[in-house]
Amino acid sequence: MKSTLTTLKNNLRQRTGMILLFSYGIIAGTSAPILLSRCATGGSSCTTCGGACGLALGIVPLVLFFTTKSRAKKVGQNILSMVRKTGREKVE
Amino acid sequence: MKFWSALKRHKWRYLAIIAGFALFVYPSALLIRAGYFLQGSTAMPDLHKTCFRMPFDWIASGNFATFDGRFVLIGFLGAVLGTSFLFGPLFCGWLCPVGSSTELLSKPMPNKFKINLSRKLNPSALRYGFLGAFVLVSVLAAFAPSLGLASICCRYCASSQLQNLVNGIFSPGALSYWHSGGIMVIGGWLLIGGVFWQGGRGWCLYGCPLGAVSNGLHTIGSKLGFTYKVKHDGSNCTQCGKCEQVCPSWAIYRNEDVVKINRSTCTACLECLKVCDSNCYSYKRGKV
Repeated sequence: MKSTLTTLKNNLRQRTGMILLFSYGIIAGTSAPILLSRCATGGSSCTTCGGACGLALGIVPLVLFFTTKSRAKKVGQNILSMVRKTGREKVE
Repeated sequence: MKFWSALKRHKWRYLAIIAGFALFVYPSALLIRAGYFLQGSTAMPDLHKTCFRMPFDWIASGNFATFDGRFVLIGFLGAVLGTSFLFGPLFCGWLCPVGSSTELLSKPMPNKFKINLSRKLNPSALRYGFLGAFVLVSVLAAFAPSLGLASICCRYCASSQLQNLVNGIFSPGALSYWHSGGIMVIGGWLLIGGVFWQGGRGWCLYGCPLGAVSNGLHTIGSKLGFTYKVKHDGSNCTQCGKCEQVCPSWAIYRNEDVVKINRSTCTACLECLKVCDSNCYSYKRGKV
């Protein structure tokens, strides 16, 4: 029973993740060129920044988030354990 | 050393990659040039002529029959998508100059400097999301020209960026491109998605619309018995993990010590066949 529930939970998590990523792809992929076209019609050409706003809206922030997530988590845990350790030492 | 041994191991594939450059990229663009010659067109043959967005423009403008290069593009798309269905995305793995250039550039870079999100960021979901966006933007660009999206789409296209880079090398007139901010987009595709990417196929995995359609067709085709596909026989598998490391498109993964192949990212490059010491992999017909 417990294992079935875990499998169901994992499947649900996986499906939700996939739907979120799919939606992110559609929203980021559509909004970036539209924003850029507004920028271009506003007078500045896209050659001035080479579609950097598109990069910022697209895959780059996701990649940065996923690459730094585990490292940030580790650093955070280290800091927390250090704080706890110094706190204990002070009490003693 | 690893770089040279990889080149030696799969020399036919790397020769095909060089042929891909000669066939599709200006100044040679031999295949496109031949198609244009047969059609009697004088337009400059380059990688832009294989643009996947063009049919939307042709349909929207209502004069599909008069466009230069329509036979070349339709022939190209038909061949790529047809082979993807029957033999796997061979164009992606063996001929595509865009994906192969970044893959080759990433080879000499040590793995510790590379980004590997194979278990963190699902390529399938995101790439089909981007494909949806590509179709949506193409339709908007074609049917609502007042938005001015048509020329902007090229800024997001790695094929376009590659051709512009090569143009910059061969024709001094195009050198102004090197000074423009377009280099930032190239940096995203060549550096983040290429040199510093495990396998060097960041663009292919997440951004390429043609790759997404090819892999979609391969996913459907691989379920049928008469199509060719990469197969894994686990009976001799030593779980060494070499195939997982060498796969440029993160298609091979292990689930509870069972090796699985993700058809929605596999590019049929056959690197796994070459690297496996136990001969677990094969490329043949039959059901999975």
